Amino acid sequence: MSSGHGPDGGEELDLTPVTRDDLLLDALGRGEEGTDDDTLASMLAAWQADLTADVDGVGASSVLLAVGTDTDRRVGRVGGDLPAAAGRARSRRPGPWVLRLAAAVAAVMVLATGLGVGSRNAGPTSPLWSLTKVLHPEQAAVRTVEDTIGRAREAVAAGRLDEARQLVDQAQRELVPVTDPADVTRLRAEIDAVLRDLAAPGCPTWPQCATPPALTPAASTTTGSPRGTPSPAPPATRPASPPAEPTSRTDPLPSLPRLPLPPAPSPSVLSPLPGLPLPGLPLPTGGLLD
Amino acid sequence: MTTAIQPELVRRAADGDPMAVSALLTDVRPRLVRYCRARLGRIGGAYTTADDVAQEVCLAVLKALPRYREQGKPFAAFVFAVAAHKVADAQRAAVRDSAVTMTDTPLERPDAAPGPEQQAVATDLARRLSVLLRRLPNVQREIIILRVAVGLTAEEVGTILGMSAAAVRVAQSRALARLRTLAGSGLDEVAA
Repeated sequence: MSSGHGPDGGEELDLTPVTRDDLLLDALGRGEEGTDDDTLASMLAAWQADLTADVDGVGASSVLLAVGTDTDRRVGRVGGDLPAAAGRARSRRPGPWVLRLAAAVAAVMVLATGLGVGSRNAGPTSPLWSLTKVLHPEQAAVRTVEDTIGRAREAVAAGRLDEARQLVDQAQRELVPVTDPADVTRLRAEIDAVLRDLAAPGCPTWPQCATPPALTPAASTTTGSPRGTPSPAPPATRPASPPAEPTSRTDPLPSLPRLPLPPAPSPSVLSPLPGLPLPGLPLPTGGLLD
Repeated sequence: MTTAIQPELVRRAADGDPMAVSALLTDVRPRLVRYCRARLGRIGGAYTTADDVAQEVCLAVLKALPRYREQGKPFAAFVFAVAAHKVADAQRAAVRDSAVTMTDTPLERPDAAPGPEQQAVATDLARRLSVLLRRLPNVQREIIILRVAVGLTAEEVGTILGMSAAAVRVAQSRALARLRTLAGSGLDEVAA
């Protein structure tokens, strides 16, 4: 067994090979260099040095930290001596409260997104309306005008022409903050439609005799023929009609006003079409109302 | 380095004395790091995995301190029994994860000439020795690792492996002889 290393033990002839090897390993274990003429000793020394490199830099503190956190309950407050280190160890492994916080944040995000999306189409009567005003101010302005126009239409249908006129004025004012040209055009057209109903000559109560005109204006707005007459008419009909007739007339005719009302949304759908070729529409109404 | 771990220090650490725990770790940790590095070698060119295992051993040792007191075994034997288990676990996991990690064929490059730098030569020597170590019987390899890498005495190694110090000395001589034979056959160009 020891025949292979005869040459390197020259001055230690009194030692047995086993003792020599034991001393060599002791020296190597202490980190001493092997003798130059012993290949295996230098290999072992190089190996030992390679294993020792950076040993002190290998997470010396992290072990203490991990120990401090993991054995606190049993060994005592080891971590107490290493507060900064313990904090680092703890931050490496997220605690349950971090996960809980993340879950809460995620839930809030989902809820907020849902409210934001839902409030986009909410009207003034919706519980989300205040959110809509904050999150979608443009949408809110459009919805406000639409709501006012709808109420004006109801007022016209009910014969409350003064109230309808006020509501139309209000709608005009509310139209100012709307910036989207398409929305402005559409809403203008709706307002004009209500104004046309208001101005229907000789027809103070709209449902009664406006049912035929209600269809024709929607179809003939492009011709512009009915518009010539209405503009002078409103001053005449307005003071006369509201006081006496509408209140008495609307009662016997509850079913008729309901019929034209469902079509009321249809102008809002159709109006963009006539609204485009009619840029002149806002002009008469503006002059009429101012 | 070869001083035995003081039983008094171990007792105080087991009782929860923070200073004793810290001192014990300062004493044990470098040995454990070298042991795990020697056993696991460089994985992916670095000792990162081995160092991680060494950390685990440190934790396991400290968690098991009270149990150790009841067993009454030498502390070094206790520590390196834990380390051997952890290393074996890591080796099994490595074999499970990738079959090539623990094979020594990629490291065995007889034609790789040592670089001009002394550092390169030393690293090459170290790598060659770790390759040679794998050809030793398990007990002989463990003895060499504990004696050279960890720096324990023959008596300490005997308590760890359950052998007498004399048996350790005989076995380590056989291991060195075998390594010399292996090195002579595989490193002719270096030795010459």
